[in-house]
Amino acid sequence: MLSMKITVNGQEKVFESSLSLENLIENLSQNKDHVIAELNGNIIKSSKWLSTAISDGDAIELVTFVGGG
Amino acid sequence: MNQFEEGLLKYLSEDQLKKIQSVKIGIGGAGGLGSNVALILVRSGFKDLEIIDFDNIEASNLNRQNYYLDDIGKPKAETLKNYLMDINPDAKIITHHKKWDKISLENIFKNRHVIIEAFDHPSQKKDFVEYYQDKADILISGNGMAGLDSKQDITTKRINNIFIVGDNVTDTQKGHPPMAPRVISCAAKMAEIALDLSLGFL
Repeated sequence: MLSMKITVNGQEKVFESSLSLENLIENLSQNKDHVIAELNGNIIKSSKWLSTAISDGDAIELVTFVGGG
Repeated sequence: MNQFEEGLLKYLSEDQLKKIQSVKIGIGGAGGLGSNVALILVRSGFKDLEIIDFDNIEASNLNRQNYYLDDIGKPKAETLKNYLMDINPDAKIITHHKKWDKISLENIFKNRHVIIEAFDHPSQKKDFVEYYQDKADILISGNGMAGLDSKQDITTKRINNIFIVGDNVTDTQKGHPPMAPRVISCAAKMAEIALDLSLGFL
């Protein structure tokens, strides 16, 4: 397949193979249990990450929570 | 209208105060963020709050949380309620002295306009924000407000209806101590967002 260009937290990233949101978060985050994800303007709950495919041009925001409150 | 509310009218119009008082707030956690956010909100005129916290007050909380020496050993949620009622005796404060989790929340934070995430643990923060983001008009979450050396700015990031306030970096689980100045400035910013939204400024 052609390479896929996406934006994660404002930074462009290129992937050579198809991937799910779950794959992407595992790839970029130290602990996915601390992360919330927004895909093209919508929050995607973690239960849907595996079934959510990333497509060329997608814009993703990941927020990683840290301890303290 | 009580004396406190009459005092507020020196700074707010009746219409503004009515708007603020009509907003129902839910707060998850009554620690460093939660106890201070609640205090600032009630001082700002909010009077309909629901608060959940399972914890009791410890000596190590007093460096930043809105409690005093005599409170050690008491439940946080109920103790906080008492202080809030000392400011506005007509406030309607519902408290739950229990641990929030994804299963036991059927009746917690129903029909709240603004929900505030003020928990300690990152996985609980995530679960709470994911759970409530489509159940409230606005969700405000605190993320990163610790450390002695404040090189990291406390900022606000907006994603849809979620406002995330903090430096997003300093982690109490990684040795950054939660100290009053940063914890309370984060709490104040969170409360400011709720106030601005209620008055239509955001």
